[in-house]
Amino acid sequence: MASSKTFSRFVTIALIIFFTPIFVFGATIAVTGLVTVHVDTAEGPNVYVPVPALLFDLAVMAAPLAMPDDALDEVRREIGPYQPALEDLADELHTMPSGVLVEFESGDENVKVTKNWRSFKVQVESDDADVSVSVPSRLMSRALDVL
Amino acid sequence: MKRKMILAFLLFALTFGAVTAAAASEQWIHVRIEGSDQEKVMINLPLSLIKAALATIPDDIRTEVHDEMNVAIDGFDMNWSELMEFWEAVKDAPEATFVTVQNADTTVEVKKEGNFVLVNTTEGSENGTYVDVKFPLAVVDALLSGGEGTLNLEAAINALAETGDGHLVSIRDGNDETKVDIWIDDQNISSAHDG
Repeated sequence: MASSKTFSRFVTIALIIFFTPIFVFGATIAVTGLVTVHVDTAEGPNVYVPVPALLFDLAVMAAPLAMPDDALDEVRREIGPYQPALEDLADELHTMPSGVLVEFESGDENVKVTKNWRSFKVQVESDDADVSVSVPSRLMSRALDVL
Repeated sequence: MKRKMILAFLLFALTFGAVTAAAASEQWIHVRIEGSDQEKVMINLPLSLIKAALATIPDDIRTEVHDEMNVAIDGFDMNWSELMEFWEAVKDAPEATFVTVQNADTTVEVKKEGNFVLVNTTEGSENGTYVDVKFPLAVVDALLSGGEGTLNLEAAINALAETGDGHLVSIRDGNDETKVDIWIDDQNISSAHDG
């Protein structure tokens, strides 16, 4: 009886340990979004790389630490006067309605930039390869927050 | 339980409807350029985004644009106040054709029609280029409201949004190989326009 109870506790703890990282990972993606890169070549392998946008946030947060102080000061001095306007622009990019923003069609290449709900997608289709990159629309806001 | 589900559905439908209506009421500016060799460029941007982007233009670039504009005004042997006087006269004038220039190659016509100033240029040759530009009066008025030598781009975008749907620019060459169209509507795709 006692061993059954111990076993059941062990299973519960094991499940918590197993599922917590998955849950945290899923929640992080849900909150920060996903950057995806999809490359589909005519004769080569298809590549699909999903990267949690949190990693980009961390990279942007780490960048000021890696930059020399004078270079960082210069970036802040140059961006400073436009920071409110840039923040407004970043908000607008995030909240603007979905739609096809840019389309370029030529005989052998098509490029399309779309806003789709909370992400921007760039698609390039050519004879050699199709490339698609999707980026959460909040990425610029979060980068500006760090600066 | 059933009532709660119906209420939840109604709430969802109302929220979705409000969001859709808000998105639909957004004015978009469309630029479509079709060239020879099947090349086509289409740009569709909400005016609110353009307004936000204009605010990020650095001061030195604004100054450069204003300097060039002042040089262009000087080219017509005018100063800012004379330009404003001319514009006030155009606004107050009844519908009319103000300028018609005709020579062997080109006809240029500037006229006022309703709340618009229309500029029409036609090249006389067989494959000549045709340019048709329609400036809403309110937009030009807002553009010139920035004070001496300054263009108020943000006010112009606001005025453009209030002007409503319509065609602003059409350019065609004689062979119809190159077509440029700029128009405004509340659609988020350019294919909604019939050209």
